[in-house]
Amino acid sequence: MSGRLKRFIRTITLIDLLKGLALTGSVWVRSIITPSQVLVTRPYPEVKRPAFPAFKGHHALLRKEDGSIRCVGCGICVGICPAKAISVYTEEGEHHEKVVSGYEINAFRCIYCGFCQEACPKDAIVLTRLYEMADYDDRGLYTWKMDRLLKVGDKKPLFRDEVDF
Amino acid sequence: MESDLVKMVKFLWGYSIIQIVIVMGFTLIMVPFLTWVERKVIGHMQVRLGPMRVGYHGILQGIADGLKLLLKENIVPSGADRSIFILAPIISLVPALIAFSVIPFDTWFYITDINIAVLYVLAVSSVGTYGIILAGWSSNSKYALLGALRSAAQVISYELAIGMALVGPLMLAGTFSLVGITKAQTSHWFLLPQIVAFFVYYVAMLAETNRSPFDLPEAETELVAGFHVEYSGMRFAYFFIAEYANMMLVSSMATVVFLGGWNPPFQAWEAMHILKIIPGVLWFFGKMMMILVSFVWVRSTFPRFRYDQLMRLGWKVLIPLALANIVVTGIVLAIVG
Repeated sequence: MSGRLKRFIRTITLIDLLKGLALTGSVWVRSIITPSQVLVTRPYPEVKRPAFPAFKGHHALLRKEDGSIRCVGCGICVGICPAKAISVYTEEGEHHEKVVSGYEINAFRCIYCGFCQEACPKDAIVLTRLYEMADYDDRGLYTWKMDRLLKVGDKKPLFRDEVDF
Repeated sequence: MESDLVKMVKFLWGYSIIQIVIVMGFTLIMVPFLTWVERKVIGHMQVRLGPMRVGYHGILQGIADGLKLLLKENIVPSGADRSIFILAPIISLVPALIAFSVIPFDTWFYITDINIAVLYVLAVSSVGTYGIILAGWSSNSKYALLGALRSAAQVISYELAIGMALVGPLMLAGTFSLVGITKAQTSHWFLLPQIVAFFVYYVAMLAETNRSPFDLPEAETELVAGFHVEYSGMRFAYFFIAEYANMMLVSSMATVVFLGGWNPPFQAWEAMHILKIIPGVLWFFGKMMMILVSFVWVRSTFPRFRYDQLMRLGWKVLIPLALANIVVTGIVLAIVG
């Protein structure tokens, strides 16, 4: 009987409804006073989310201190790549040395495992924390040529969150 | 004491066409603003941002939506009754707008003051239900028909409650004229003596405008969109505008009947007469906006009623409450006045 009476009192005083209104109302008031602490929506293009420290994103080719390309064209990355995404092109230079003339990554094939940067004996190829790889152009663009990879690598600091090119 | 600007406004006010243009323009401009307020407030209550892109914090979102609907194709389903299908949105919208002709926004700010204004508003807003029923019937769609049936049953049930809730304040004011009712509340609003009637009116007006938690006619989880499921483009926008205009109408009625209309609060207290510096229009508008925001607040808090719960609440709770309120008000009036 007392349980029914309790329930009846709860019903006619609308206590549960008022509790619910108080909850939503308090969230609303707090969202107006301190929006950044309450609202979880990220205004993405304006405020970019930082990538995790070990995030493996867009590839980059690094240079030596004198500005020449670090890559020596050994092809270990090509061999270790499980997705067969990397192609390295070399040719004979002026003094019969090996010159890297082309370095291509097929971004559709790449699985971002990071084996290439681990295998590279010269630390020439790295994966940056850049994650905005979408493009307006057709898929031809997703074969990343050497100039694009070098351009990404030239950005200083290299592993910052946004590198635009 | 009045400035030239106020004098000029009052002079122009003498022409009824200008009155109509101002009141209708105000109503129609409020609709996109209200949709923005609704989306923003619900967004914040659900820990989201709400519209942010169009204009400052998305304030022009409603206008962008309106433009989109204006440019979209008006589709008539192949099995639909074409003429009624086209007529229904108009029947739905027009009564919602013409009911504003009797709402007094300030001592001078109303189109007309008729001595049966309350009955006029109740009668005209009932006509709007025909729009919903015809829309559901002519669409040749089971969802639309179910939505329309629910709407018809719901509006008939709750119209009784809304009418009976208004009887108490009418007994106190002794008049059907909305201007008269507002003037009767110069020193005391009817909110406190008629708190039960206000509660009944508030719940019934949520149901009357098909708002959550009584949005069964357009329950999107069951009926897709209810009676307007087959509508697109500007015809859909008509229903949308009608819903918001109806919300504003019932909020205005609540403001006039229970919250003293243009009167500032605490006027029984001599020191509070200073509140009269703020124009009555702003008092009216502020009260109306508070009720409209509470609509949104309720929507973002409560789940939808089941159909039998809706009927039980209407017939077994609200109508007896309103009747008891009439009896008690009558007894108190007979003893006191």
